Amino acid sequence: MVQRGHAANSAAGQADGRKVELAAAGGVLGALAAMSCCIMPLVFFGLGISGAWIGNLTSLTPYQPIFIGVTLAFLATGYYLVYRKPRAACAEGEACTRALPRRGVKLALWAATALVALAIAFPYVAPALLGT
Amino acid sequence: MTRILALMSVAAMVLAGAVASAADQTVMLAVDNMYCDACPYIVKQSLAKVPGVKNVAVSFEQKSATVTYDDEKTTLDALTSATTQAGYPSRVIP
Repeated sequence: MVQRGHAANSAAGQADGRKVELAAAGGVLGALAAMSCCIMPLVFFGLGISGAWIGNLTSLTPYQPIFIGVTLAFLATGYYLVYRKPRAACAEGEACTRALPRRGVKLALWAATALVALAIAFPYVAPALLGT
Repeated sequence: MTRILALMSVAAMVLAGAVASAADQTVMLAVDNMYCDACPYIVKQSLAKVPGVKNVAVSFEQKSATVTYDDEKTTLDALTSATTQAGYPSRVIP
């Protein structure tokens, strides 16, 4: 019985580990997309990178709320799987052999959170920063 | 007599040329993709960097940029190209 419990736990743990990786990847990509329309053009301009292709990025601005929403959904899923679910599943006191998400994946979640927070805050802080 | 006349007419032409070409033009550009409040800053800076531009005013509400420039030093194409290369295509409003 204990053996089966362990196997089931670690299999579920593996599956969750993969889900967290997907959620983190989705979060990072979504955060980059959310930054692409307003923050990235400013960064490019400051670095002297130019090109008509940047116009393709700025034209995505109306979709930014969608990018932000999708990113937040990915991140919420990721955080739930990393912090909330393991606590609930291991509550019964049985030995938990589920694999913990690798540190890199957690780092990706936090980095994506920082980036999407920046994307959300940017319209409010930029005028003050840029002096317009 | 004719030589003096010739010299005078050359001088007149040179003067006329000098006066005529030191003209400041003001043009209004319609600028695309300025959806975010911070974007006018990029448009303004990209235009200000063009040699010969004397003054730039960007309107976020009207999605336009009013540029005063020395038409000896730069062209309308250079202005629209400057904003387009920064990510904000523009065109002259006739």
